[in-house]
Amino acid sequence: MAVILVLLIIVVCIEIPGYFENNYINILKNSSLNLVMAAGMLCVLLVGSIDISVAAVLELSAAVAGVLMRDGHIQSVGMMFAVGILIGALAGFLTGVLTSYGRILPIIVTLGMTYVCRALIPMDFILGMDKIARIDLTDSFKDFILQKFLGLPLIIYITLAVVLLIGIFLKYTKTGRSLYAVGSNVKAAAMRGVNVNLTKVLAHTICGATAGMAGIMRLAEYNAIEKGACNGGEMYVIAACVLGGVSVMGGYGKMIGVVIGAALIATIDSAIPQLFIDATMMKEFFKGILILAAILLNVLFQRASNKRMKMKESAK
Amino acid sequence: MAEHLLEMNHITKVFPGTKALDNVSFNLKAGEIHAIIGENGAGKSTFIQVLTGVFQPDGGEIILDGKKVVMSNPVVAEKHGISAIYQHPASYPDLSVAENIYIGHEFKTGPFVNWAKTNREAQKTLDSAGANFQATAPVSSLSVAQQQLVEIAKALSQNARILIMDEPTAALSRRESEELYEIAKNLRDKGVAIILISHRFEDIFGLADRVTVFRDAHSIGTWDIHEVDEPTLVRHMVGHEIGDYFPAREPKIGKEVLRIENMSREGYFRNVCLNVHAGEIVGVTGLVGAGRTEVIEALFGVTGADSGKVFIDGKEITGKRSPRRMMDLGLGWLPEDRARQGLHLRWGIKQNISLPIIDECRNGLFIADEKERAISEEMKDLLSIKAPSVETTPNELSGGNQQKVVIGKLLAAKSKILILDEPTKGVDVGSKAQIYRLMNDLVSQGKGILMISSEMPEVMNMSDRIYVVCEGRITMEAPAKQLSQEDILKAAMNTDSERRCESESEKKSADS
Amino acid sequence: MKRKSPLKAYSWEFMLVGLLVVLWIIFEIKDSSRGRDVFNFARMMSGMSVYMLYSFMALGMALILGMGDIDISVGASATLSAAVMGVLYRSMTSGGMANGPAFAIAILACLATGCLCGFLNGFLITRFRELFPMIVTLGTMLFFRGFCYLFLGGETLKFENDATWALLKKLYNGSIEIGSVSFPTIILWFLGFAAVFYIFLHKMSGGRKLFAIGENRISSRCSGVNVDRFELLMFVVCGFMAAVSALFYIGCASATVRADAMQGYEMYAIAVAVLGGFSTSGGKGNIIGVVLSVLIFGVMKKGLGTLFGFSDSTVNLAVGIVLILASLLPNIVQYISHKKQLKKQQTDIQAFPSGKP
Repeated sequence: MAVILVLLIIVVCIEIPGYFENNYINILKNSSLNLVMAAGMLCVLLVGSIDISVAAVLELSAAVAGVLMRDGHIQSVGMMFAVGILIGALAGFLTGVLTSYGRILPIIVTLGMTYVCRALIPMDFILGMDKIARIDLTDSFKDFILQKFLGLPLIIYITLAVVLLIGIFLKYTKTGRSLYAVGSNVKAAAMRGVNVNLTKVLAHTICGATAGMAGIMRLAEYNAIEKGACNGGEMYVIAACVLGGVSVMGGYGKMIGVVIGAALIATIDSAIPQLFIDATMMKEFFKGILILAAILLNVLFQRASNKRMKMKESAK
Repeated sequence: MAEHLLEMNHITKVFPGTKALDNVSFNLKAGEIHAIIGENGAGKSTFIQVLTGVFQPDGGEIILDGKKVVMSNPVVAEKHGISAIYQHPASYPDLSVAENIYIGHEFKTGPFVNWAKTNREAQKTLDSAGANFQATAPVSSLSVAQQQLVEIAKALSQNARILIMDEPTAALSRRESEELYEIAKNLRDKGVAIILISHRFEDIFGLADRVTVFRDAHSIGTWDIHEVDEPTLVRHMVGHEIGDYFPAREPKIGKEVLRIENMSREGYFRNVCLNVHAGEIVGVTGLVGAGRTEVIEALFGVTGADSGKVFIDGKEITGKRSPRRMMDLGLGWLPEDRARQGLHLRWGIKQNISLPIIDECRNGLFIADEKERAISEEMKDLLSIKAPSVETTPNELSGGNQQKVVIGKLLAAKSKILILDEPTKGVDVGSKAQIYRLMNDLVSQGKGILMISSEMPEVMNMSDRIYVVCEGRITMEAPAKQLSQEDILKAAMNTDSERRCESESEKKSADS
Repeated sequence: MKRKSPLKAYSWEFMLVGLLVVLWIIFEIKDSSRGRDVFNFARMMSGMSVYMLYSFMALGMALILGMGDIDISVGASATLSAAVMGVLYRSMTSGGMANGPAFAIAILACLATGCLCGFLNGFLITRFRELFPMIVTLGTMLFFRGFCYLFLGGETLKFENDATWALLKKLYNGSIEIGSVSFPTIILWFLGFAAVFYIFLHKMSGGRKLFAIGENRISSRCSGVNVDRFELLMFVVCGFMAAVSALFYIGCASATVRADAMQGYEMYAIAVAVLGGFSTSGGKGNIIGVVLSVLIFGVMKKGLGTLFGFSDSTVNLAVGIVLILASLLPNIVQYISHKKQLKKQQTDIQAFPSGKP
């Protein structure tokens, strides 16, 4: 996958002189939302589950936090993140409990959660018929997105921190490894004394929390949120994971792959408008084609390398 | 120290519908290999799962080192030094070897896993167990034998005092089995007590010091290995004498019905030639993983073949092969993995038997229940499938009866040529004899049977002609009467020679 | 597949009927307490149309779920079918073709596009078995949606004053009087399709093969079912049903075509099929359940909306909760019965310590 990314960037750089110099910050910034959620999605995919409600959870947490800020209950940026993450984690926790203890297929639970979250947003006690707009947000919150550190927007550091945190958790802690164990062989993990249900709940909670966090990041970036603002966003999150080589069957996947997958999507996203004149419409078209092609190419590469391995084995 | 390292007294375990263990007692000395044998469903696995804390017994006690212990879960059992190795290693295929060995008791610095140390220590343990692979390799890239080494290394790393080996050689070749024997003996000499569960008498007589027989949830008795012989053990396992286990048959061999010529698939098998005549049972044997099943899969078009020709009744079959097409041409296939490839476990026997011929069980456009019922009742009687009705689902049946349902599918489809891949795998001794009788009946009706089997007595006694496969090539073909067990084993491990078959045209030129 | 008694075999369908009755009674009580007669059969029927748009997709989805697959691209393929139809019709009529034949060709093109989308899905799924259908159709969803943008851009095709296109409006709005109740034609269309699907799934060998694939794909293949070809065909049917939905949708949306139409319809289709008893793990389900679940969704939305005056979102909230609870219920029942059985066993042992149970 890394090869494809590099190739793509090279092609784009040749086509558009000065692309990389001007755009690498944008690429990072664009991928940050998707990447934060993809890091959470990685946990869920690792335990062999899936969550298609992340975009709805994002909207819900952004809306709730936005309303609290509008009504003057929250002033600080930190509190916004705390509220967002809490709401996301709660939603994820609920999903996790229903899939593991309730034994419902994750795709159905999260489909239901999508309805529930999207439905809650326009309710009277949250947004009513309104939406959160610029005017509802405090200045400090609006400024926060513009802040830079060492020439890079702060949001990139936040993304990086989340990715590192989850990456280290997965690679270096016992609990993190049990996520892999559950996805790789549920029976063996249960026999080893891993609490399978609890592990699944944890994975879903992490995923929900990242979605909630992404909600605040999105609110900061666009200064607005309404129902359906991120419709279809879950698809790009899952696509980033699949492109990053994460197995949808569970048990296999690396954080670095997810980072590359998200970067790939962001590159496609940012390069297309500059390659074509009729930008916005062509963008949707090519985004669809390229993501589909990348997923299929990934499989073909995998097959070729498997075959090579088998040949080598028989030659031995 | 008490005389016995482990004593299990009056263990009883009940599952909904059945009593899996009934007042079973068992003991184990340090430094011995104690074999447990019994038919499928005799309670061996449940017994092991009680010992390793997967299940809690409903009655009885476990005494370790003279002290009563409760194995409340597998982790507690591990702490007591009890480790288990299963037939299909219960490992994590996506994780590395080192992680598989140390999962649950990783080396840590602070709260974090110390990967460098984990890998180093794992490599040490592996080397001491005689492994030839890296600790950082993913387990999915290893062979079954190598995976079992990983399991043994895992047990060693936990300083296991009691090692349970559950059918460890079932998926291994003879050479790999012998390597495993050596490792087991080494461990025993170091004072580890080993519980060996096996179907293979070779394992038991080659390795065990004592043997306990289980039957119908009871333990029948324990003997020193020198006190008993194979027929005695079989008698205890079955509970009665088995008459003509391999029934005699007068072969009436007709004309050729199936021929495979020079079929190859890169990486799996090369230049495979074989043929089957009407009224003939042809045995194909060799080590597990020699490529026998792959040839059949290529014959049925499940996987492709790079080259080769197939003839049925002397006519070449050109074009793409698929299971449907081959069935229409009169081939029937009993796949090796019953539950995965042969049956719809949650469907009734009726629906299972009618599935291959569902398009014929119709009145006009619609499925005709009476036709389905008629044919499945017929098969149930013909094969004497022991089930309350044709609505019974296969997952309520024993292995033997499940296998008969699959055979029923082939017969209902009126197959002329039956390809049976390990027809008695996981089948109890009683049903085995029945299946053998059935095979004889079928060939006497003029059908041809190609039987793939790893069980030497079965191959030797049932076949008229035997092919031996080694590493994807046929290394020997001969009438069964001319062969001894040693001949077959030699051919099965003969990696150098290759028998090329003559195609029809070459034969003609040789004749003239 | 085991049929012990009709009660057991159709327990899910009975539960759905029960749910429908309960909803009906609640709404009836609410209605009479308000002293008005808003909620009755005739009004219910005439108000159902808008909830029927995705019911055609749900039928197609039922086939796919029955095989243990999933298709989340149906919404996008429906939009693409509509887009192709609109663009083709406009270019043909502006090229001087008469409205009638152009319209017929456009409809055929619409249905063909749906089939083609289904074919692509089926082709990729059967050729790329490593990927889950979920992932493949996720990709094709983006792909189809992209095509819509390519064809239409941000533009809305309007055919408001075109008499021929108005036929579609009639198709959607039309109704047939039976007794005193006027049934929208869309309901009759749906029931017609459902009958065909019912016969195919539950009376013909094709349905048996379909459930066989959902129950155990490998074993089905070894038993002589041409799995790949059959699965491909079912995806084509699913795409066709998406295109049928598109035709009605154009009629509903006052003869306009937009690139971002019908977003999220796949979720409705899945929800209806799942509530109807088709699990995403495949191998079971009954078309009667799907019909009932379409009715439940319709009654619930209509009742909560018009009677209780709940907003659309509250209704969606209820849909989500019903979906989750409906999936949870059988698991809980199973859990309790399992516990009971175990307990009974335990007491049996205590009664006869050494005897066989």
